[in-house]
Amino acid sequence: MEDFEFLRNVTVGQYLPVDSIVHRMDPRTKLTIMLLMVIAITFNTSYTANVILLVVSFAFVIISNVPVSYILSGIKPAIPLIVVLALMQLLFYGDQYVPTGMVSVTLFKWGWIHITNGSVQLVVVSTLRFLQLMFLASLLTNTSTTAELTHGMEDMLRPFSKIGVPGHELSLVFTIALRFVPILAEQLEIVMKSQASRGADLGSRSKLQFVKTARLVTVLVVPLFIDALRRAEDLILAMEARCYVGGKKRSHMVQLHFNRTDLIAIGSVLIFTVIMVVFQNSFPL
Amino acid sequence: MSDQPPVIQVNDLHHTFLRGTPFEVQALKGATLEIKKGDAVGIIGRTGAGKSTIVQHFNGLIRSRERGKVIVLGHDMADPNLDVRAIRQRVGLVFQYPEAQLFERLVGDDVAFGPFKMGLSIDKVRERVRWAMNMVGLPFETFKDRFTFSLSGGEMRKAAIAGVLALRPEVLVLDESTSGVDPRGRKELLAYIRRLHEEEGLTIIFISTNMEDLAALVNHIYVVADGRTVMYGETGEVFSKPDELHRYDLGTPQITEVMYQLKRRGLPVNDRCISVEQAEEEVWKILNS
Repeated sequence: MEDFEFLRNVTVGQYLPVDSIVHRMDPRTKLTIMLLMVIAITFNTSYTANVILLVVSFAFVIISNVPVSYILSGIKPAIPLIVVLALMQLLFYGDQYVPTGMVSVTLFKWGWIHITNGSVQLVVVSTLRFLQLMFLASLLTNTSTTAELTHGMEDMLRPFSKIGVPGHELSLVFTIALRFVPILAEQLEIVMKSQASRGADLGSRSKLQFVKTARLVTVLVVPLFIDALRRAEDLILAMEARCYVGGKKRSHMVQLHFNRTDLIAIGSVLIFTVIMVVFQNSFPL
Repeated sequence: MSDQPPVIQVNDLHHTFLRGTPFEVQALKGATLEIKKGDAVGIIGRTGAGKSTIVQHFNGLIRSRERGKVIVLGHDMADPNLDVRAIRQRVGLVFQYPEAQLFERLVGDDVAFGPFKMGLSIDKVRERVRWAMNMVGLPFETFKDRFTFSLSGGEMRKAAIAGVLALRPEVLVLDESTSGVDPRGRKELLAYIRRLHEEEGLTIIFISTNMEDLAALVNHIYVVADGRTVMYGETGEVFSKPDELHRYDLGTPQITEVMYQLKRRGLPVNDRCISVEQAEEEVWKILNS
């Protein structure tokens, strides 16, 4: 009945202050590993490869000391979306998708519903991929503070500044965006509670009445936007008051250290990714 | 007052936020309150003591599944078949910075949101909006067609309170709703709340950190510390125990503190004075005797 507790569902972006080898890693390492894993995930479409990738992503969760239940609770709100997507893919893809090296086999056909081995694989693989990406994305933010992540990102973007990529500004935008997620969630909770207190149908177990809920959007969005804009204005003033100028070779509180653990971690994930990409078509199924 | 039936009964209430996550916070660890019909009750306590969590149980914004019982206007709030919306109409809750809830372009429309949602006829909605706006000192004819976001901070605050009043609640809960307004605005708001209590017979529950405001408005005070209700009594009685209040990081109205110190220095004054007028009478009496 705690219909207004949002922070509970937002696990992506929430730093968890526990100690583990993953927490102590250099953020640049974690970002690189994330990138490599995303490459491996995008290249592989077979069942076997995706199961392997899921196991590896899950292994990262285990060594990071982040409670598995915590990561899973973040997936819960996304389940309806996954189900709808899966159903659409299952019903409407038909024989348009044929996995490489396979012959399209019709498993079920009734009227316009046409289910093939290809569409089944598509559904299973996209669900697995979704889980892998969800694990990795929340793990990245669960194990690194925003400051670490932005410094890591800024540092990694530095080589591109020669071709005009504003690395510092990008990482600043990224920091502010991440920082505002919990603030806006909290503000939304307050606004929802206030509107419910004066007669809006919120939090009275009408979760399946989408239309009714959609009509209430203005009641929430207008106050939330006004608050967000006001906060943005305050932030600008605070930055101006401290004479903030982007990227003027400022020093950092957080000093990044790249050590042997990081090297080994990147090395092993790199080898893993290369294997997964090179042998993508050799996996059975 | 004591023969009136209770409108809100809370017994040994427990509540934990973000239960089952690493950010779990036990906010209430046994709060017990009883609020009588037509009373004006203050709830005080330092930040994080659990005041807001308690009052959010009063209109079902939080319905704890943990230990404890909450009975509001005769309804057990744990009953899963309870019509919470009906309770929310009868127990109006105003938050801190309630102007954050405004969303309509015109003031009148914003105040009308609640009664309109109740499905009342246009005439009845208009009647309620007129009453609510007049009650908080925003004359209906002058303000109904003003742009909501062109109002001053104090006027926005009043409009937001009117939005809750338009539901015609029997109980009005104000969760630090008078803080952050300029002194004159606050005084005005307090006067309007007192009028709602005295003339319209509303039961008032008032959370505040301003002891002067409390002394001026409420008859009884509950002190909340660390998720528990630790003190209860008539306003003068609670404020006559400054040492105990200090233990919970709270104080008394300044005038009460002055009278208390005078008594400790041996002046035969009554240290239960909670307003400047009472203290003035006391001091005058002693000077003349």
